[in-house]
Amino acid sequence: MILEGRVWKYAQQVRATDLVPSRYDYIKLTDWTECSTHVLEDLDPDFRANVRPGDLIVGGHGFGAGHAHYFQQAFEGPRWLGVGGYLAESFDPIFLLSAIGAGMPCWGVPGILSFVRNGDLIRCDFAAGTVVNPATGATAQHRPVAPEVIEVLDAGGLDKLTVRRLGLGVKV
Amino acid sequence: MQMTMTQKILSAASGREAVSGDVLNVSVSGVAVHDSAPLGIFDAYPDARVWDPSKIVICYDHFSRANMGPYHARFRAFAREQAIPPENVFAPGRQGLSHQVPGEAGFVLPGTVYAVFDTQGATLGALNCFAFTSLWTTPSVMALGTALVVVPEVVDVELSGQLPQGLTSKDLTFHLHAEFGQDLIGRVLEFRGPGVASLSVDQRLGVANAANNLGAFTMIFPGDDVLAAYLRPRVRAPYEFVAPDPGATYAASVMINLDDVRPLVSGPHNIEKIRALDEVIGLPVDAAYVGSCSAGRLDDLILAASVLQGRTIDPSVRFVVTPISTEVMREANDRGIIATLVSAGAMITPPGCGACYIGNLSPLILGDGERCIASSVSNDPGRMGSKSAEIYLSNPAVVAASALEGRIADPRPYLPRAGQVSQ
Repeated sequence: MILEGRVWKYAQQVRATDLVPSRYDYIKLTDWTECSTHVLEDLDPDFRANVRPGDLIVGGHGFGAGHAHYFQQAFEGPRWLGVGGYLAESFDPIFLLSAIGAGMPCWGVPGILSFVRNGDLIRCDFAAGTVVNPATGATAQHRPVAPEVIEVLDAGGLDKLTVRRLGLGVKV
Repeated sequence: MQMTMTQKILSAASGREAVSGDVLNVSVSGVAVHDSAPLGIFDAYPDARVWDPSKIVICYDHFSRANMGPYHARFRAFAREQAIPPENVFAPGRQGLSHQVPGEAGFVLPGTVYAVFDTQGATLGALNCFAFTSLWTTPSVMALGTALVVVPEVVDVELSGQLPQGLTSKDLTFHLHAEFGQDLIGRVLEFRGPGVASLSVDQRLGVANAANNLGAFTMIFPGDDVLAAYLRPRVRAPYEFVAPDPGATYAASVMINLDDVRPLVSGPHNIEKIRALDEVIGLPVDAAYVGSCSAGRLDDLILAASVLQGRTIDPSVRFVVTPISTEVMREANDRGIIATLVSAGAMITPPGCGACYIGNLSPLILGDGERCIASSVSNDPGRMGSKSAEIYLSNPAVVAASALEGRIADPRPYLPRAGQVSQ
């Protein structure tokens, strides 16, 4: 699992309801196209007009925290816009596991905020546990992402991996 | 290695020593889903099977009315196809919340890992287990009987003393949030100390319920006589309590003297906006609500009734009470609590999630600019209706006193003096 993308850096805790404000509620609607029009609407109004496919959102400690009701839209909306993944000093654990379960790459990289600048193009190798920042020539090491997690991400999410693992039949 | 409760439970469930930061594939002892849960692969693949039908619990709670029959058909069919025993399906007449009923009905055992679809799944950690919210990974967990967990760090929370009269888990969790919030993010809170015994299982469930609000993974209460007495008539299998090793390593330590906790409120519009009750007293309210997985238990209903006993609420306030489960409703009825609440002017609804969330069959929908005082889980804008409505969260005694006065009120003048609890 290699992530390569341009950094949108927010030097604070990015909560689920920062990614998509709670005044929009898509839990039943699941209209991710509409949802994607509100991504980071309050925190960074310029984001949507300027985001490019593969861009990475980088934040501080407890990324994704908030009422879990808003978690799904907080990774599906940005993903719909082409966001390639989230990196943060640390994650809300339930947010992390549900985003990974949905196939959205994210992982805690202690020190990431001091290692990248807004707009840097970085390259993350989850299995090796490295983040390379060509702009500064530096490489940061982090604990390699466990193979069990990479397997889920490579499969495109937990449902797809489970289907394969159980050898389930033809999709109806 | 000297282990925390978290490490012991996750080690036993994975067959590997649980070290903080490791990813483990843990066996779950059960999975609870509610009526809005995704069925994912079970919808898409007719040959998909749950790993153990006897370990799945289905609770109608968000849509817990008998008139939701057609809506419930989806889960009735699922239960039939998967050979899930009918007694595991908590349909109208037996319904209650998916993170309450599995404990009441004895499906949740100390020392195990228990998965709940609902956002507040950590609630069941009050029963000395590792209960966690599995959200959209739930279909996979039901199919495999396992879940991926990143072993979290643990915070040692030592409780002493006893909560002042009229205060509940609500005040304790707001206190935790306000005083120690940054220490708790991403971690598991493990409770210990002499103050634990003063908290009923109802209150412990209410505390653990707040894990998601705190950004914590879950919470685990220790085993003791209080919990053993709760479990004795319920559990379906033998169990052993899990306790931490002396010398286990914690990421942080927190000490709380429960005597020092004061009445607190959260909101509006932000769960982290926590203030002393005194700062908001007098704000007019249009609606009041006691219920939800945070505070719809027997303790909460008794407390509200003790404030309302022999009194009548302000006629301008819509006051709704929703018991968390059928068991709680039956018990509240048998003890005369329901009669007290109805006499005071409360509308009692069937057990379920009630007014906590507009997306439920909410019996209390807030209009533009209205203000509500509630004992429920969340106060995000729009949570209970109009996005311009204000939701203040507090303990049930404050809700009841506010319903009496038509404005946010201090319940202490209404509480029976110690030793005079009439219920």
